[in-house]
Amino acid sequence: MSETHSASRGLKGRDLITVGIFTALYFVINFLFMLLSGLHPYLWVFMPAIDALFAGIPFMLACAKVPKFGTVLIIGMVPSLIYFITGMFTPLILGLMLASCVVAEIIRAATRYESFAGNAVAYAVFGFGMCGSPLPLWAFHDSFVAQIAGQGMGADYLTTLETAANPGMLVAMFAATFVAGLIGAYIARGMFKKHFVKAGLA
Amino acid sequence: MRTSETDARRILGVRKGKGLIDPDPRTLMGVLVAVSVTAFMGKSIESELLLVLTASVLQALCGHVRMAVGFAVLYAALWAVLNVVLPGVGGVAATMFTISLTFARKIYLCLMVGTLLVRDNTVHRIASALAKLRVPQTVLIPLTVTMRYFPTLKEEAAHIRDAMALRDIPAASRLECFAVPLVMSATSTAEELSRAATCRGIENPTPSTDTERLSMRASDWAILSAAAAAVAAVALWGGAV
Amino acid sequence: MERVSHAPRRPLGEPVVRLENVSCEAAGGRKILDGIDLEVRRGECLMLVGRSGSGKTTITKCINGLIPSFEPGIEMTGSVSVCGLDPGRCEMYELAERVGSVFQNPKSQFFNLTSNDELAFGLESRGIPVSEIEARIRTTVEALDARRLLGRNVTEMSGGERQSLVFASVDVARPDVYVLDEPTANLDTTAVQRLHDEARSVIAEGGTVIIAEHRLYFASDLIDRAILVEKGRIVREFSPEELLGLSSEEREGMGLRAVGAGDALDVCVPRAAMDNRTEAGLALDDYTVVRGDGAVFAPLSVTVPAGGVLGVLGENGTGKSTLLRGIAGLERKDAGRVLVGGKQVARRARRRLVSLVMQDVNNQLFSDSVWNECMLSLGGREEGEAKERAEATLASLDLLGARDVHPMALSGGQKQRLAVACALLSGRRLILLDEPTSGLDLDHMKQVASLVRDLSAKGATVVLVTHDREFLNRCCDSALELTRAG
Repeated sequence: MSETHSASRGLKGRDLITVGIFTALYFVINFLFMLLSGLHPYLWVFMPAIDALFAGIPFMLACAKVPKFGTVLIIGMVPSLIYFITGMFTPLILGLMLASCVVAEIIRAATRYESFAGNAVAYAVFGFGMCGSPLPLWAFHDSFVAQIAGQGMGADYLTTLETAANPGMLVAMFAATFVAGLIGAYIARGMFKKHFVKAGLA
Repeated sequence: MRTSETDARRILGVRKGKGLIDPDPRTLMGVLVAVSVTAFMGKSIESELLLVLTASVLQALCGHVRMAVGFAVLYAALWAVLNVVLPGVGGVAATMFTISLTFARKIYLCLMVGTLLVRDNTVHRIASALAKLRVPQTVLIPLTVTMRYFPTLKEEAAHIRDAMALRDIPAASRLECFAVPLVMSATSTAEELSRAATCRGIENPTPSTDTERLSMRASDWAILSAAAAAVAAVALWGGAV
Repeated sequence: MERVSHAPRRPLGEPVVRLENVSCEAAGGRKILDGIDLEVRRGECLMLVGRSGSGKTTITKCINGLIPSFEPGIEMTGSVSVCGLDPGRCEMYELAERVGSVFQNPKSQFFNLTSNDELAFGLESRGIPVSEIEARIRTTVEALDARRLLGRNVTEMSGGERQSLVFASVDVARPDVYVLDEPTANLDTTAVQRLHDEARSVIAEGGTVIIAEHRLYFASDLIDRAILVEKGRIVREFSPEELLGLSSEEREGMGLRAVGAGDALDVCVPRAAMDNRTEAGLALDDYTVVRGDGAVFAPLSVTVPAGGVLGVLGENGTGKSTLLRGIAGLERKDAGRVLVGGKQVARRARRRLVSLVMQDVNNQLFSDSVWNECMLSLGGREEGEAKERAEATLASLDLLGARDVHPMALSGGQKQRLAVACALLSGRRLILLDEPTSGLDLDHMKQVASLVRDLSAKGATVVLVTHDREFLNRCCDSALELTRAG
């Protein structure tokens, strides 16, 4: 009888609450690095990677606690919604986040939700969602350059900007994010083994 | 529309201390979409200034006068830093802040409308508005929980920091020492809150009552039309930059 | 605190809760409940009493559906019927219309950040029309005299107010059965009294209430009967008169806390005072913490001799915890002097002399095993002498057997003792305890009391903040009552 209760496929109220709490943790980590990324263009470009390195614990814990379809969509879409509502998100991120969450969900479904490797790859893909934050550097490149030049910045700064915003960097950003995601998942696994499993929580 | 006598008897969805207009959260979300669309369109400084002023008038009309003044002043400061200070100073500071502040200027209108939306409405009211926009409960319940958990998270983090201050913890393990109790407490809150909410009937499939009594009024449609017109105007005659 | 000796008997209605031969087994085969037969009639107020781990809470979980819904590891046999529903077969939201539950922790039971929305929560999920919800909220607020709960930001409410809000929110949905599982565990005396009065109103209106509690005085004048649960069995049934008539030996033999408000609330240790002995473990001279525009509590002058134990009482919100944080050097601004071992110590330096066992001890354990937690306190030196000290300290606190266990897997009392062990190992002689007995039954309260006496015998100076006067009377040498700054 208890089996039918815990093993039902869809997300129930209790699952939504659990995921909501871990989403809060994810959001806070994410927000801190978002603020930090304002300090330097390179920090901004590699913010998704740094974020992926540190935010693995709430993501992996939520996936472990709620091994069902939708967990990752919530962890991705709720922060996007908060960012959007507070005016900090451009529609660009919303779209990229949604796309990477869907791919991550497919990976989790294909690996039946329980495998570490599956969840780790899903997490790495999930990290692409945050690449939507610096993406305007490339997507709206001309608008940026025009405004910065219009504000009177010198030519050498614009050269720096060109290096930061060249297509090679775009590729580097996605690659770094993916690798950092795998490392982040691995760090989370270390913490799982050292603490959460031993404490009987996961 | 209801009369003000029934308003006084109300307990749910009460709006007090409001300004001249009281837009539905959906209206502000619509405006937010509109300003997000214009964020990366070319705008002349005149049209940008006009938009910022319009947004601060909207804030003031909603009763948030200090917010309106604050944003207007901040915009002036931002413009001065970007156009005068950073090009003048150059060097490391310019490298560090030009991009992020330029970005902040680009999404400035979004920040203005977003701040208005969040300060003008409770989480519950925003969730109700999103529910009317067909955002499913599977997103709204975690959204509410996430927002509800932030203050608790802040409290827990402060406790852990205090506890760490009273122990001699090597710098290398600080992060781990901070993260472990935080995640543990999140886990137990998740469990306890799930139990409490389930026992109160959160899993009920019946559509929830709209206790906020949201309704779109003429003024809401007027604001939305103005926002749409502004987008069209910026697209057509926004200016070169 | 005025109490009528007993509420007038009301005629009871039909049975609403029926447990027949209910047994529960944990995953390892341990029996938690063993053949429980219980019938609760409409309008009845029943209290479940007994030691922690006796099975009281498990009985409430069988009634409010948490078993089986949230405890897949527990195997239940026998039959449960609540208002004609079988909690094991119906959906939780169906049961939620019949049973309302209040749990221990006021921090983790509210869903909304605004109190009015929280009051509406249960009926809102059921899709009840908004005007009807408001009418019901109005009725509840009137009946429970709870106007103070309206229009509040929940994060700014105290624990006691939050617990009253949870209770009122449950009442708004007007369930047939109210299940309260140790609702007062984290509350101070004022808040306990509030909740008591609110429960009395519900009972007067004919509500059926089932309470599992250690603090008998909370409900001893509300109940129609009490049952004593021991090792998963119902071993005795009391009328209210029988419960009140128990001698303290009989009561303690059953592991129960004080029944009458008098026993639970009188203080019988001397008032703490200032004297000029220089060997004092701790002396406060005109000390207070300053926050924002002024002093938090009226300035305090007191001496605690080395090896002495000072108990601090005070109404909710007078700043008892703030006092401890101030002594520990965690508050940004304070006034007056703090002397440790006769020497004045500056704020930041106190952080290295003082140990604070927090109310939520979970926030101060960081390592992956009891042993490593000790090593963290010893600065990582694991060679001969340090190792022996750690072993001896753990042994004296009855923790040596758990040396490889993760701190979070320990029981509440063990966690507390581990925090104390860390304090001792780091060589701190001034130990502050914040509400160390909240939610504890008699046996565990006695354990903490003897731990405090042990500390004192080892020469440590102890200051503890508590609202548990039974506990204070057992282990403190002197006490003082903190008052708000005038």
